[in-house]
Amino acid sequence: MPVGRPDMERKEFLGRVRQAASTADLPPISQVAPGAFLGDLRIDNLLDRFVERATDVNCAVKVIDATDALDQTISIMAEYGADEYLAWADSQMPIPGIGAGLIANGFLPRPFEVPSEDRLHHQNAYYDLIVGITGADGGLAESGSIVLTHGPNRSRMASLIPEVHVALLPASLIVESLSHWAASRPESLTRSVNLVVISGPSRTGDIEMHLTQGVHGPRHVHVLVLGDR
Amino acid sequence: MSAYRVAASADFPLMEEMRDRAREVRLHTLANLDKYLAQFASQVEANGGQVHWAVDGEEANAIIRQIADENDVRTVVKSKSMVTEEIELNESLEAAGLSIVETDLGEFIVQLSGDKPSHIIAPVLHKTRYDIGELFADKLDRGLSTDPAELTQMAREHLRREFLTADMGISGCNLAIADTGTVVLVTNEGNGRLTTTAPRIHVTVMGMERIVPTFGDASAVLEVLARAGTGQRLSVYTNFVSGPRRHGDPDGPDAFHVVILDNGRSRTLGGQEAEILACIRCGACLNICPVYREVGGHAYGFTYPGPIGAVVTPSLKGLDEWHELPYASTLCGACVEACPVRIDIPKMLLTLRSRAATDGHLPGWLTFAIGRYATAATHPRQFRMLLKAGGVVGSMMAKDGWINKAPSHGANWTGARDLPQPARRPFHARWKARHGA
Repeated sequence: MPVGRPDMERKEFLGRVRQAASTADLPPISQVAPGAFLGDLRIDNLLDRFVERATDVNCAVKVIDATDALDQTISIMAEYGADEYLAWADSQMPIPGIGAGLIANGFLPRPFEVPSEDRLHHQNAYYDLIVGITGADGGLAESGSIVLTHGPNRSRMASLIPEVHVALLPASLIVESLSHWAASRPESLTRSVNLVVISGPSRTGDIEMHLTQGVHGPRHVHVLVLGDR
Repeated sequence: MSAYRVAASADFPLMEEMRDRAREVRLHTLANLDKYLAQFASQVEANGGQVHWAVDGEEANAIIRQIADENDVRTVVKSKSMVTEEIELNESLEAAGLSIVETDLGEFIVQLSGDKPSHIIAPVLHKTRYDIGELFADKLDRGLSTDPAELTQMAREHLRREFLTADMGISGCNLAIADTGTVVLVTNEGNGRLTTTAPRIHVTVMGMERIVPTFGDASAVLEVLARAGTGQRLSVYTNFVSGPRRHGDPDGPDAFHVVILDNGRSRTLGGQEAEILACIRCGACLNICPVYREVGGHAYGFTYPGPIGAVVTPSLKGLDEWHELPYASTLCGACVEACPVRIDIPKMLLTLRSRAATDGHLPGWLTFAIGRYATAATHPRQFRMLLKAGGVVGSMMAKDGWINKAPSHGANWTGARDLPQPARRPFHARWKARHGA
């Protein structure tokens, strides 16, 4: 598919780079072993720091007992007047029964499969979604971020298109920082083709540097941290 | 912006060590760039993506036009990317009859008004909410508003349909991870995620120097990037894309292409300004630069403004056309202090100035004048005579203490500002008269 002969182009391209790198006038550096740099971030309590920092970036954070997760999700749905939602499959959520429970309470799930052959039809139906519900595979205490890895039964759109994103994060999955996540879960970029680190609601300062939430992604992010408080 | 930045760094105990680490990662990668590029390309292909090699902008644009053509692409959404500005991709695709929509709010406004961005991360810093309100009322056919939140909502509604129906999404990339074949996109608005999720084809255009070896190395750079750029601990969305959707994935693009661009970078890498390729495009040097703050982004004449641009532009595009840009600096060094990867920009401004002079890019009269000055400055008697003459002539030209019209090349100065009248008798003469020699 590429223009010309890709193998030759690769070889010539890299040959030029090799030649240039061999004469590059670069400042000397101390020897580096590739990998994450982990230092002491002085975090006494991962959960407390996560809550503080996620709140800092305008997430609505609640630490709840896992058994309250369904009720909490329902009350968020009610808060925004939503009767439909887009979610990860129940099998992908950190605790069972959220989707089934929502349906039992009269809420309607939107299909999360976007088949390649009928992409536009399915995506256009997402235009005015209000609530998306996902799990989370990690929390980053230092930046108040949540980490989502995508794959089968895990809709990327669920944390992206709706006005409101509700994420269920087990407290045990909170680590210090992005570097700590990368060091402890190096396989996470090969196991799935999409990983996203989310730090608060979508925002912009483009108009006179005035902070506005909800440009293209969710305007509100609710993180329900499942602990045993 | 700078107040935010201080706040976000103050509570991060590893800031200085992380900067050192990020710098080492970038320099180490540059020194071994061919190896890491080869590894990255092979890994992208192993993940089901396609890699294209572009020597210059023209080639990159041709490759992307061909991908569009072969896949019946009519509409394209773009997330903010400096490198596609550099190669003027939009113009090329529009000429081929495609519809291109910029989706970063600032870039969208720039595109609607037919303007150019003035800042790396805040492209419409030069426009007011009133300008934007009128623009939207006119182009989007909406009621007039001057409220940033309302204007943002209008753009959200307008662009959402574009995202959901576009055939192709084009993004840049902040970093590319060699050992996993991953491109990393950092945005606050979410347009980077939408561009790489909704359309059936995703094309990433990357400058060949964007590489880092591993996920851990990328983390070190990401931990300093947002802090330096906007004062956030991390940007809202850090999106890691390693290929097209896999079997069983419910959404995501069906095809993933990476266009790796040289466009002068290998020449830069082989020369005295190689270190500039360590730049992570955070914009910190712009915000801090006294010259940038006076003249603004457009004055730099090319995609990359500010101190970074004063080095990158002549280095990538050659001194023939751009030899004046390295003078757009006071060499105060604020940019080195602000740079998260501590790039020594003033040093490179000096190597560029020196090359511009030895390559004969200075105008003849200036070379002559500097030569005369060098002689005079090393001959005190001559120097004093010149000062005396200058005092007399200058005073003759002055009116009310100011010279507002100097002859010959002096007119370049007085065309824009007045020159204070020199003392009729130079200081040394007055000192001598008062205290004796």
